[in-house]
Amino acid sequence: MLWTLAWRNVWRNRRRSVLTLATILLAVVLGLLMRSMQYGQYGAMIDSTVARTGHIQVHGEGYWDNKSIDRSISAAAATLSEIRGAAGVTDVVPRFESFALISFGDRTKPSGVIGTDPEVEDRYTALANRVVEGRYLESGERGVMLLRSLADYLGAGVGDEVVLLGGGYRGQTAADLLTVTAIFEYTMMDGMETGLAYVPLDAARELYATPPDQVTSLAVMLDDGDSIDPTATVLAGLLGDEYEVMTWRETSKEVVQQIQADSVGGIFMLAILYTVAGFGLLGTVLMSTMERRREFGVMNAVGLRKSRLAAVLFVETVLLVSVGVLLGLLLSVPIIMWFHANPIPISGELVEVFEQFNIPPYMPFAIDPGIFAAQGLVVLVMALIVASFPIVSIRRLHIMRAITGR
Amino acid sequence: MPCLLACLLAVGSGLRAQEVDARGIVRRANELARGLNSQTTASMTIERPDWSREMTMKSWSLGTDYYMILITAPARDKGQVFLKRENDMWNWVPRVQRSVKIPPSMMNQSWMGSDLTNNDLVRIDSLVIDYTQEIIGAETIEGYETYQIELIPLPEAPVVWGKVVLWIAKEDYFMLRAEYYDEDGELINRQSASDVKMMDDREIPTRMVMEDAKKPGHRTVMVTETANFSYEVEASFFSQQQMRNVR
Amino acid sequence: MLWHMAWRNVWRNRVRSLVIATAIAFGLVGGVFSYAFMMGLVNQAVRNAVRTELGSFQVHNPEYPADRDLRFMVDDTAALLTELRGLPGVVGASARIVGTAMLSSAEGTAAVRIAGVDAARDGDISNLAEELIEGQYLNPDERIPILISREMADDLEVKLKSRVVASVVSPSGEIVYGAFRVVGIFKTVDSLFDKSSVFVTREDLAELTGFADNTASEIIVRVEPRDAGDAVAARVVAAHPELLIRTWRDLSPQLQLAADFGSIFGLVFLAIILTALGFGIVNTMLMVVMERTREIGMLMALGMARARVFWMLLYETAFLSMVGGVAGLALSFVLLGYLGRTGINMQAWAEGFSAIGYDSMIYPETTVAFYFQVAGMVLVTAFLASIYPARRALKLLPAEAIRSDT
Repeated sequence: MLWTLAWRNVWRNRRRSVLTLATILLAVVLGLLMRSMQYGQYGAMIDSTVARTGHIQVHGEGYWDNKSIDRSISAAAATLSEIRGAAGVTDVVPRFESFALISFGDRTKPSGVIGTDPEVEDRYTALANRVVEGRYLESGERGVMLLRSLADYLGAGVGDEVVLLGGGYRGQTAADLLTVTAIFEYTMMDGMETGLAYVPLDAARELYATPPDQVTSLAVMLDDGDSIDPTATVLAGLLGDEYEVMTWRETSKEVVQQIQADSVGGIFMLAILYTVAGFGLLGTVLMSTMERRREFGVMNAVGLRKSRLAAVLFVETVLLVSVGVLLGLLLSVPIIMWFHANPIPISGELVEVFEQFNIPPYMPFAIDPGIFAAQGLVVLVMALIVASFPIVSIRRLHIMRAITGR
Repeated sequence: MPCLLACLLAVGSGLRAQEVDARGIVRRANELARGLNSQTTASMTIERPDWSREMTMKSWSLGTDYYMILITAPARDKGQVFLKRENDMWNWVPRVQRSVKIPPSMMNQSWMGSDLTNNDLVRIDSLVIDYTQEIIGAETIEGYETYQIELIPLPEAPVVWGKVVLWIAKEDYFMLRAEYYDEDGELINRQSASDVKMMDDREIPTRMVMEDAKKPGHRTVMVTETANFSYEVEASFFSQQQMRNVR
Repeated sequence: MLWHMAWRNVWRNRVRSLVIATAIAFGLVGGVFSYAFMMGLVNQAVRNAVRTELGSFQVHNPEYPADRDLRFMVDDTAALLTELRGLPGVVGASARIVGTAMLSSAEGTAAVRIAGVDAARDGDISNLAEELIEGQYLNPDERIPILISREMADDLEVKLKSRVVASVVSPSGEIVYGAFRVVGIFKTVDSLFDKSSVFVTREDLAELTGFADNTASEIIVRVEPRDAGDAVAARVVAAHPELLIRTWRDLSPQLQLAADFGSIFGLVFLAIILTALGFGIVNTMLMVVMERTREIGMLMALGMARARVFWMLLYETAFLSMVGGVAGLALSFVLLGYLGRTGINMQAWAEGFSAIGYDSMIYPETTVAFYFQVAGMVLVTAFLASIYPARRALKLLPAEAIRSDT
């Protein structure tokens, strides 16, 4: 009975209710869109980080604190299949990273060297896209890819032979001649004093004179980003003490912190948005309460107890807001899903910035039930708060004054 | 009055004499250890908790300004040559048929994976020219009486040590022990020499051990197999050209 | 006359007007604050970079930037400095010798950018002295002073008064070694800068590398106000085609991008809030029109032109909005005035902020012009919001209106 009364009351003043609904709707939709966009961005940042480092990384014990190739580990077939066999693991990317002097003619520059499986590397980090001259690396070849600024300094081009020289495994000298197959861009590294070069994994092993199958890190890819920690524990147990297992959150702490800082800002803005909407709602409710004083007075006079009257008003507000939230959700879902499937493309200079971070140049939208739940809840709480004002008003209602309008 | 003056003078000159002595001692010891005109063959063993590696080499030196080292074993490193000319060092790597001048970024890297750095090989005169030397005591090591000499770096000397302590044999100037401390007084490196033998026309310690005091089980052992001190060589021998030809 | 009526009408229902005005006020405070926060964040990052690291623009030999090779110098620096200091707006110009070096201690080695600065004049272009957390700035009376960052001090395990050794490749191609004593330790918000920059006196570095008098690797110029820097740089470009002139925008495009992005985002958010408020205003004014149906009908019956009715309602909406608007802006002004001085401590998220190069103490900032812009935006919103209710009013038939309840 209460509910039907409340419902009919709501629709008696259709225009006002519709407008209030619209405010709630707007706040909910905007809030959801904003949050969805933010989460989408975070997701993109995480994806790009994980593409590089893997959800989980396996190294030799102590490698993270002291990145010496003497702490490299064996990625023998047995170990790899053990890791691949763990639940949730989709792939394992082996890499061998170290430093070397790269020399061409009479110029020499210290440079990072990353040995990787070209095809797998490209699958995850789109390395082939960065090639601006020449041809992308092929597995097993004795070739090297140079960073553009490194190649420019050395005066080396595609087809030239460069010398790589450095400290190898267990004190041996690392020395080799490799042919430049490609030059790639990575603008984030411009201006740094060291260069960067990619070689096929076996070429790296040969260069640094390591035992076969040696790697400095294994990037483990999972199918579900949510089960990282349990899988990491499983792997740690599986592999034993000579290995260390770290999640991407540990290896890329800055990304986690950036996301946190940004998220705080986002929540703050959301709070402002909802406060504004809340005030709007409050205004409407207060107005309506005031206007209907006569009506309340009459109802009270004919026998409707104040408490029930208050209850009706309460339900009215909650009902209205609930409808607003529901409609907002219903409206948002298709919009977000559409944007999720068709992200807004970025244009202009921003494209470069995105590509440097390995994020595809789109504004992504995330579908996360958490967003919907959280915001729906917030709005409902807001409704409850606002809805309690009329109750106070009712309690102070003086029948006679209300009816006679004084 | 005059006596006091005379006494002060005597003490003063005595002190000065002692300083001159200390530096002189260090200089002679340094020359003996590193800077003679010589041709030697040696083996070097790098020891680590998990592994060890041995290599053999042949070296030529002219004073403390020039030397050349040819690696003769193992196979993978055979034929590599290191050339020092004053403050610069070159490395010839036959595997790539290229010689590279060692840049500043590599100078502090270990030499051939040992506990020596490239810097250690190049800045040989450091102990003599970059420090003040003072005799602080005496000790007997391996049956030899030694001066214990404390070296404090000069204020503007480009060295990273806070202090170096040397034990040098009084009669023969063998540098039997060396300890390197950082500026907080923490021991970082320790070197000791032993196995004095007759080589060519003189006695020298033939075994040298370098230990990383902060990492137990990390050491490098150098054993001199043969030495020829009447080797005649010109500065022109120490050239980049020669690096490719030396055998 | 119409204004007067409109104004009084606003206050006929005091409570309602106050409620919506309060909503507008709070909404504006929220929106303006968000904008100011973003601007404060972004401007601070730019200011820090310009004031500590980049200057307004820098002068180099065109071949220098590729590799910081000391061979490529700017000649005749004395004359150039005099010329630069004479340009309008220039508050400082100072020459430096800057090269790459290895810095060693007993415990470790690091690759650094070593800058030999003019200790007397460098403070005009860089506020590094203010970033010192220990010790003191370079004092030419000290023997061989060096300033390093807290991060570097920790990596090399050194402290004040420690000796470090720098090895540099001199212009003539030989490696030279020089000892320096740590006299000061600094910490800026840019950890990348901290990780790689060390500062010594020009005299010491020149002596070490054999740099001739009256030459330098770079000249940094600072212009106030900051925005005038581009014009001054352009003049120098015209006067010296043989030199490479780069503004802070050229040197750090990411910074420029962040600045642009920040202000756009702030404005968009403000627009969103105004839209939400707009709905509230529409709601309120509709109520007004509903309430005063009879009255409006009477006015029209008595001869008031529809147009005038329209405008009256428009003015009412405008006044209502401006009451809230002015209150909101005044409140913002006060709030931002206070926070602009004391700053907002984002300590809890400090790590995330400094990872991306921001300080954890944010000082929101706006310009006076901005307040006027917002006021304008409020008026526009009011105007748009008034259209629907006003049209509804106009559609009333006077005869019916008079007979209605209200």
